[in-house]
Amino acid sequence: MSHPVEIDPILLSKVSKPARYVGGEWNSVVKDHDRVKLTVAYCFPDVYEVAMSHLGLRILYALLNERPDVAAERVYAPWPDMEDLMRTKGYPLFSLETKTPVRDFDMVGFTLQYEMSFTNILNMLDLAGMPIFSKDRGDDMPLVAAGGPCAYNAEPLADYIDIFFLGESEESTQLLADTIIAWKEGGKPGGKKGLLKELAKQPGNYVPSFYDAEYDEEGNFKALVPTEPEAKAEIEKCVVADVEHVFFPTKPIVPNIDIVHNRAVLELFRGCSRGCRFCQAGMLYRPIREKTPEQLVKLAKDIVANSGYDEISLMSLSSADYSCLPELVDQLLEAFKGQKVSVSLPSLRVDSFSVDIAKKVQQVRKSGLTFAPEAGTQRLRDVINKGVTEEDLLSACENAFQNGWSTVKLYFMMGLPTETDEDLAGIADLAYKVLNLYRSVTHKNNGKVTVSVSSFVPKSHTSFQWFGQLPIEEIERKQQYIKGLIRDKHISYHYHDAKTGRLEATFARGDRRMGKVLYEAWKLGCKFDGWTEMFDYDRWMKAFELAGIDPDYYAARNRSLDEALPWDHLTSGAAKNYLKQEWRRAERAELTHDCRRLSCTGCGVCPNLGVSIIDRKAGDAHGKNTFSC
Amino acid sequence: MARIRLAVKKDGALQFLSHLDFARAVRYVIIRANLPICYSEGFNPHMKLSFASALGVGVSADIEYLDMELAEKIPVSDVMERMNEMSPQGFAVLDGRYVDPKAPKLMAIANYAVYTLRGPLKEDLSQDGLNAILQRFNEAPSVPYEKVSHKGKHRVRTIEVKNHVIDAIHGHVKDGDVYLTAGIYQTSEGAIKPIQVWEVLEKDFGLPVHADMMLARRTGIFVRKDDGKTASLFEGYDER
Ligand code: SF4
Repeated sequence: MSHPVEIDPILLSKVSKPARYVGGEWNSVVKDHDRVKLTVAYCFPDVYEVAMSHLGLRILYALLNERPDVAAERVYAPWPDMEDLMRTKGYPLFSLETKTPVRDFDMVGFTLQYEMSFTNILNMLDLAGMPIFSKDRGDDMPLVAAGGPCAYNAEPLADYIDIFFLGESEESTQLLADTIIAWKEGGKPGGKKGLLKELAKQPGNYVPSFYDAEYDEEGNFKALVPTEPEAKAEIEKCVVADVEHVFFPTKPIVPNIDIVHNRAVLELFRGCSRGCRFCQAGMLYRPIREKTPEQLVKLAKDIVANSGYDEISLMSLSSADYSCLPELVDQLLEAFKGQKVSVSLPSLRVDSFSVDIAKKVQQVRKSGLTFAPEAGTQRLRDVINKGVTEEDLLSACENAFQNGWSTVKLYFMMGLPTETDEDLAGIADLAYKVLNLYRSVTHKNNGKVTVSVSSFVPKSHTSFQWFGQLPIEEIERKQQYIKGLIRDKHISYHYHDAKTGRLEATFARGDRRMGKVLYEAWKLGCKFDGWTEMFDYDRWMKAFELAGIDPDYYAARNRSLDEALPWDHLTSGAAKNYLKQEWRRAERAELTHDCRRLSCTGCGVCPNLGVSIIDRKAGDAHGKNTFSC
Repeated sequence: MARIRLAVKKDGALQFLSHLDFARAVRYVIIRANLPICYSEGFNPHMKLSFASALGVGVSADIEYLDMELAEKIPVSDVMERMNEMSPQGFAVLDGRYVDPKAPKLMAIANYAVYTLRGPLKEDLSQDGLNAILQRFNEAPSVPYEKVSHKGKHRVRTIEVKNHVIDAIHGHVKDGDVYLTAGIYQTSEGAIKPIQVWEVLEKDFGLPVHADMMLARRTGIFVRKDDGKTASLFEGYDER
């Protein structure tokens, strides 16, 4: 019998935002653990406001709780003041629903959204009173699982996580639950290892302890060798073929405090096939699969009625690409007429069409519009395959300025392959062109252009996965170079801390040996590394030193096209050869078209996984699975 | 258009909400309950909803009042039932009635609130000991409280506690905690916070507690007339 963690409300009232730790939200699900066969603690390694804004975990939470035999609960990372209270008073990490200690659940599942949250995973395991290393957790400890985009390069976490799940889990989660329940009811044959062997046979599941990593004499990664018969040489992601009918929660948990994205979320489609070469999500979530507008309107009505939200965000990797967007927006505005429900688009495409849609949904031009040209010159935009021209950007901005917007935000990256100072000067140049356009369109001088430049982090599973990140000094020089070119007070310029990007890059292309760095960093007290006020680069460098690892080996090294990569065994379905081909095209600044509009460009996802593009408008002109709305 | 006044509660998971968060949570309840609530005009329409007080983070309330304007006069029992069905843990509608649309705002009439304050004792304290401390406080002709404001310049303002705590404070000791019942009267100068009363008792009257370890529960909020009598916020504003 597990005892709930009871914290005296007087003590709780002393920490910042105590409501983060009490649960009780509308639509949260509280079940009696004695009446279910499986208990799952879904953990998000960040603070409540960030964690609650994430759609993926909400889907799985609702999906499992639909089952009468499963209780799924939430656990988020306590902010350091709460952690202090918990450590001093001896409260273990607990779930929000029943306040059950995390270590008393059958399964503990972490979501891996960004590398900078990894130390929080270790810290949460420790706060839960569980050994951090998989090998030290006995059969009495929960199964520790992880999924999400960072699972595609799982190696830095291989020593800590028992099993990783690749891809979309709506369908595989049911099988997972059934398997664990059957194993429990069958008297847990083979212990936890027996369960892992069973799970390793199922699609999308990666059990890192069933493999040994091999390195050559120079210490370069050579291969990952299976040590158990159940361990597959390659693990392919799970994918949901029928996105139209897949489970989507219509009873979202409504937080009592404000969170980062406090609104209803509608997922228009999965995947993106524009093929930006730096973008990992674009490769991981292929192919494009759309829902119908009718289905979306129905979901939207249910969600609003069940939550009370007065705003719906149309979310997807590039929402403006939804083939029936104008129809959908009209139908939503019609459905909520007189109900004060607004519709919002989190991202706009760089074109005038997107501005027309924004115009429709945003009656008051209170917030500015955001566009992401990503690079400053046409040549570099072609290298990264961002199919956007200066003309597209200027016509979008012209439309916006004519329609009452006065603020535009432009997102760029720096440190991209083949980049020169000329490309950086192009960023400043574009900013000026946009500002001058505002002046000539409105004859006013109150326009505002915000330029935000992040430093590029090469990610696994992209065509830039072989490219080494530039040295911090060079990134910082580039940042200052752009700064020197922007002298108008109507243009504000922001850039990201190069050091955070550096650390991200070490994990994004790291192998198992990075796990040691992570451990040293956690021991030194690193946590919440994604938070500027918490991030301590020097401490991280100390951790690299203690682990005897050079960060540049992972972050800055250009890798050769034929070297073995530590994530080769984890596949999104896209062929490595396709990525190589894309890398060569990038070097020649050759564009690759969007496969949903024209012919298939041969990434391999559709044939490999037996799925196909679902576009609700394109017609069936090119032999793909398309419908019209 | 009709104005309905509801008595509601704020506790449990909601006790740690700020006033803004609490108000948002109530707005969600109203939308879920699908009530014909009115909105203000303009680009940024606001729900016509107002509260009797702004309860701070950590302060729970057995009773709080709110007014809302409905486009259609639906039976009070329906409003209550629909809202209660859609309420998160810690919120409930306890009572309600339609009031005169021209009645003054709740904020303008609610001027007396009674709280139970609870906090752990630093050392043993007998009931007699507690009574003696409270008696000294209750009999003191003047109790100044120095309020340091951190906004802008470091300014100190003195509040006369006795202008606000006009009835005697009672209390008892249980399981290592001390419980006090205190009424706080709001004057044209404002009021004093429960935590400030607690602090004064600790600092100037030797109540053996931690000045910052206390939770307040509001047990009632009233209209206090000049003759010292209190009335419910439902009284006297019936529809004509
Ligand atoms: S296989 Fe072809 S159609 Fe399918 S996602 Fe890849 S490029 Fe597009």
